[in-house]
Amino acid sequence: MTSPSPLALQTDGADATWATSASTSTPVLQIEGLTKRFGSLTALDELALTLAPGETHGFIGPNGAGKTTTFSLIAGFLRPDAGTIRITGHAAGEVAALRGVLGILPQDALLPAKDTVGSALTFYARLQGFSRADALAEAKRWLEKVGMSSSWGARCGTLSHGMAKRVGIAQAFLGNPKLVLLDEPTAGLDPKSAHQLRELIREVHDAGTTLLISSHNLNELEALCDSATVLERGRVRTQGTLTEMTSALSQIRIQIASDSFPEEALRQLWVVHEFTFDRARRTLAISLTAGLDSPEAGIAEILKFLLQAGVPISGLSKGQGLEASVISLKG
Amino acid sequence: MNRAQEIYLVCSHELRRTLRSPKAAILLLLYALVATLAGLAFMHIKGFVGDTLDTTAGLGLAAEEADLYRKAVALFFGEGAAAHEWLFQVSPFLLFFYKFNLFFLPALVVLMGFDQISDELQTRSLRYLAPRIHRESVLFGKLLSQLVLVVLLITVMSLGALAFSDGAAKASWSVSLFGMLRFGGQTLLVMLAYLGLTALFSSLTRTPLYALVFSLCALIGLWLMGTLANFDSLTFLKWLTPTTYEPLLFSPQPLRLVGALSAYAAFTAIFLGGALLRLRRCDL
Repeated sequence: MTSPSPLALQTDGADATWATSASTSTPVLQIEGLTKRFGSLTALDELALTLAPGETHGFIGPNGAGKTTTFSLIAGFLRPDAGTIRITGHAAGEVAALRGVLGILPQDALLPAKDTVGSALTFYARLQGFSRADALAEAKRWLEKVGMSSSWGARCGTLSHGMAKRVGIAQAFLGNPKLVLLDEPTAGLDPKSAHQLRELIREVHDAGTTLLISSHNLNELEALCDSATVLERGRVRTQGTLTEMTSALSQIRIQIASDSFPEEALRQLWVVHEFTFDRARRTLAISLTAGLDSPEAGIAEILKFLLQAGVPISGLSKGQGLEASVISLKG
Repeated sequence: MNRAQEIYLVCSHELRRTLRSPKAAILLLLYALVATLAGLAFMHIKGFVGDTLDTTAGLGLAAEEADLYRKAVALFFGEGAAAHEWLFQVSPFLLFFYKFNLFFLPALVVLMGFDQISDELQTRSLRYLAPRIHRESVLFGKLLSQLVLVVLLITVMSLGALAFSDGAAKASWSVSLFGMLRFGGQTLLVMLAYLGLTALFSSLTRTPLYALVFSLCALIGLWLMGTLANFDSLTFLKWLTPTTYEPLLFSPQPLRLVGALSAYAAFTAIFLGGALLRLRRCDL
């Protein structure tokens, strides 16, 4: 998952205009000023996002943050109050132009209960323009990939939640769309199925598909995504590549063999955003200043300072995961 | 893929789905019930009027009896019926079968299609279709499948009625066949308006049960409007009910016939237009 991201990290960027890197390829998804209101509630406020071909982007946020609303707007289920969405250059909702280009796993949509899994998938493939024979083959191919071949003749209404989710994922990938939106793809799946699905997402990503994934499982997003957006109450809290997000506010933990150190002088160091000291464990947890060009240089600066101050260092661990980054943001 | 192909795919999928579900069997049963009721009514009326109805009006009926029969037909089919000599030669069974269809089929149409859109909205399964085809194609595809079912039902049962009427009347096959085709076509035209009405209420609510209740209420409401229109001050209401235009379909005046055809086209367009507008604008 090392594709270049056109995003440059922006924090608290709800009202910011979005800077993109100099990507030469046409963005698969380009969102500008996207706003959606439900009565007096602003569910989404001035969202901007650009995804390059082959990028996997994560959507993070608590319930009600606006993740599903964003997905619904991109898919054309809802109409925006303001802003634009362009998918491979076409406006969202241009069905004819986007047929087969956009795949989506909706979070709360039920499969047609009376249809068999096979007939439902074949029907969806036919609607994407496949011939009868090709639609049948495509449906079988993806059903096999999600490990549901044996359920071909089962009625959708009889499937368990996890099985229905896997069928839903199969329909999202039918025809290899350029952009796939996966809203909580592993929610409700057992660990083995979730692992298989993550492998499948990696496979699809490696084939060049652009993916937009919403999940509460931040470790999962960290493993799958190149970049992410953190939403809170409909506004962008932060957005950027995962490397940027986890390092910009990353922590280093330094274990020292002493009970004291020059606290005030450490606080004055420009590379130090904030720190805490666990006296029982003699561990310094230092958050680096946001936007450092090189977090490693910042770490070196801190180590140099401590050594020069005569503080004995007995251990060092670097960085924090996406989960810790997001939690620190919310804090 | 153009819209016609989209509609065709939705229609054929919907037809397969319906024919494989118990719903189709229930509908056939209901329709058979309607046909039986029509048959019983026919037998009752036959017993009341007498065996003279078994002979055609122009072939041997006494002038007084023929006049009585013509009045009875005119009562049910409007004054314009008098201009259609074939109408008096068609088997009385076919006439009553036609009238029963017009009375019961709207309810059957509602029962058949009340959940066509509302169920998809409730389960949000429309979200699987929306990125692939236009919303209006979903509406028209489903409507077309309902229409095909209605045509099949009318055809099968009309053929049965025709076979039965041949034994009960001495009308020529050509007259009976012409009558059956004309009645079938007219029934279909009227049912289009009710299919549109069902589609409208199915689109207006996300709960199939509410769609069913509202659609049935609308049917009763239309019937009530027709009844209230008998009051002098409320005469205008009759023009808002589809039943008003049924007798005009037999009018000898071309202008009235065209007016009736236009009225049904307008009812269908208004109901379908409302459904389309709602479906285009609603959040899925």
